[in-house]
Amino acid sequence: MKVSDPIRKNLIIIELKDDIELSKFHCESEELNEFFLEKARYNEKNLISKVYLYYNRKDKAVVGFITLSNYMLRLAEGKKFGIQKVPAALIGRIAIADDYRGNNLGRDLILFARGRCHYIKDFIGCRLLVVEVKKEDPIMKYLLSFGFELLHQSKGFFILGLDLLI
Amino acid sequence: MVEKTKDRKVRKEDIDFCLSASEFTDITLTDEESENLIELMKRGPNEKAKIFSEEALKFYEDIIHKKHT
Repeated sequence: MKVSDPIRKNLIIIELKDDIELSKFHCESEELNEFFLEKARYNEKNLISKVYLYYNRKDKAVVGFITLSNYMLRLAEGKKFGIQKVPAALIGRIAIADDYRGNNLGRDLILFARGRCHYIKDFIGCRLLVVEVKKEDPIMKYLLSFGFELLHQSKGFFILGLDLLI
Repeated sequence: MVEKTKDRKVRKEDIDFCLSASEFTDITLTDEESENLIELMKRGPNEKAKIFSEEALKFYEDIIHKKHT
């Protein structure tokens, strides 16, 4: 997907800053709306998660967002494998505003996260990009098509990971 | 967790899903999952991951450049 496509003409991806208006953002998930309006700034300021905005610089409107934070996969028997934990980056949340749905912008944000991780791993250990997916969610097949692999199954969800070793 | 997209079918060319997970969760893998992960790490990225990662690096460079123009 080219960043010069018409729908993307005025879109950039930026970090969450104090002067960016968040209140007009609305997506289909009330849980994500609530997070964005009430917790995103707190998490950003307190280094809980990094919040990146898909932003229309012409309209000065937030089009979507993605959060990244640290994650750890613990191995069952560390001594057996020589390592006990595998460090990862977690895509915690993704949302696209109602008016911009249907343009693959969610995929753009995952591309961005993968690209960002390419540089993160030069500074701290980070082998995987992971996401948690509800078992019944059809999105899982798209993540698998990107190269994510199933790492863990639990009662209600899967953990998928993308190897960052390139 | 990824939430189901409501009221319409998700198509391959139309991936605008919502995803909402905790920032604090971590996981202990089972024996089998641990072995699979070690094997994955020895093997390295699969072909789809390599292609996606190459696209991601290009997209990332382009979007960062665009921000500064």
